[in-house]
Amino acid sequence: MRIDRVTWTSLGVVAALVAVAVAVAAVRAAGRPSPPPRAAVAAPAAAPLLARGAAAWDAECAACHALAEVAPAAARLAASPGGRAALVDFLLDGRPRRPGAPPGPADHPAFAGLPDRDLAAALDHLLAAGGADASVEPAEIAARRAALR
Amino acid sequence: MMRRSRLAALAAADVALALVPLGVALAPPRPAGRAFWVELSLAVGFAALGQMALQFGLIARFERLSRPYGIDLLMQLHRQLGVAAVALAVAHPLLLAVERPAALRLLDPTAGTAGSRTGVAALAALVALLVLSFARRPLRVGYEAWRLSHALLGLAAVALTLAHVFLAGRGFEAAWKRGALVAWCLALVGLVLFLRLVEPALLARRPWQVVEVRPEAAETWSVVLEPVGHPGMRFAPGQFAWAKIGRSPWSLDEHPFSFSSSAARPGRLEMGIKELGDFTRTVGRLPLGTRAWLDGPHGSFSTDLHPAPGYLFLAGGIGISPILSMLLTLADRGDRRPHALLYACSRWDRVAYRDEVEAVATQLDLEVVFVLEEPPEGWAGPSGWLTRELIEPRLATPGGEPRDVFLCGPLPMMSALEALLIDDCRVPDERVHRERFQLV
Repeated sequence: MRIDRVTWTSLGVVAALVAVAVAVAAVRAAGRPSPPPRAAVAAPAAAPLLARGAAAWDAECAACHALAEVAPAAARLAASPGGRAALVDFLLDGRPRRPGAPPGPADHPAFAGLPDRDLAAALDHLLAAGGADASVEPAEIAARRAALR
Repeated sequence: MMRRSRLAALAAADVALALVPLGVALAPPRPAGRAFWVELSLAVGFAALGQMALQFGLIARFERLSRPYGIDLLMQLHRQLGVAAVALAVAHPLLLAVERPAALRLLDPTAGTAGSRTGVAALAALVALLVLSFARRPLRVGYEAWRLSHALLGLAAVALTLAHVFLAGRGFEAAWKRGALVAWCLALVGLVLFLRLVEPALLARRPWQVVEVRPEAAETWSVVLEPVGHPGMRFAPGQFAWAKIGRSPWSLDEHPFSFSSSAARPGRLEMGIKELGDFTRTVGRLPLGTRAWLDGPHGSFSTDLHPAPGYLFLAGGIGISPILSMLLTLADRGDRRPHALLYACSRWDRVAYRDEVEAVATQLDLEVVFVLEEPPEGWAGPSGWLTRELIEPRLATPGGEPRDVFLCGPLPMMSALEALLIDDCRVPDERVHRERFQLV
């Protein structure tokens, strides 16, 4: 098949765009921050909770979020005064709120439809990956759910 | 055809402009780097947006682009780079899925966030645009309906992609970045709005009217137009105009027709129109006095733009129309260079403009050879198609100087002759000039 000069030009444009994209991606990936160390393996009694957390994360969150990217910020927020409650509220209704401040516009899916134990497990998984003190209990989720009503 | 350096410059400009969205995304403040496949997905996505928006610039009929490059070349680039833009857009979620397989679930329009749903909608608009462009005839979509859908789907794709970037992407939180990206897209899209809204307003001040409709052979008509209240249109022989005949200047029902008259007489234009589609089948019934508006002239298919020691014209069917314009103009200017015309038709009684061609041959140093697929009894001329044996001896003037070749006719004929000229006869690409009008 004969390729005319115009087609060569188009191919050249596409090749140049792809080459630039690959170069940019390589540079950006090389400069990305290292992921935080994972939390220590939990005691056998907590293993079922962590397994459920990983499954809940994969099912509900992994489509949009890479664990290693969001875990550090989530851990820092949870460690700040009022931050943990704000994080739970955000997951419940999708509206960000600084601790003590009114909620903003919704820009995240609301997961109020998930059972408390699944939300607690996913949040456990997230905070553990961020190196924070985990152990989010379903009762904590239920309490925030009641407070938001 | 185009010199390599000129095409390379156009390609470089395209790449630079298509990378503007990516450049804005990388400007500070920018998020921290992520995994390679995620970053590649984003870079490819921005390149897709850039290439999408650039298509509006390619088809805006800028004379500064269309004159040096030719509408034909720009349309061919538009088709190819449009496909490339869609391919890059489709690659965007697939590359993301290499790092995050769960991201493929976001292609479900009932799942995900507003950000992912706008992305899916943009992809759907692009795929629909592609399908309608390549399968217009099997799907029996009328040309005018296709043009309207093409414009609307293109606009929708750009707008939805912008919404996707702002809702789903990181790195565009800064107001100046959003403003810059919107302004850049609007500037390109605005070119088409200029074409569809402002240009017609300017055209409305320069109306034409049909003063004669003359039947020619082979379902071909000569439509003669005279200007109303203005001096007419200067054009280079071989060029064409987008004509709106019997329609409003704002109508999308416009068609590219080559001028078949001499460029030395701009006050009275003739266009050779063959009955090939819904509109052209009505040309024979056009009432005299019908108003027309001409957007032009366009095109680089002209002897005026390609000086040479002589020309070899290869015509098939209605392709004679722009070539006749060139020949009549050369005659009006008293041209003395040696030229040749090989004119292929099915039958002798279907040779359009036969009398005009024979008459102009007496005013020029022009060798005319009619080649008939079905010659009449007693035919002494060549029969069949245009072959290497007919063409090769005429590629140079009698003095041995290389002629430029102008080629116009049915698409299969043009493709075959292009290959013959460039691959077999080794004619440099820059000396083979052609223009195709079957854009979709």
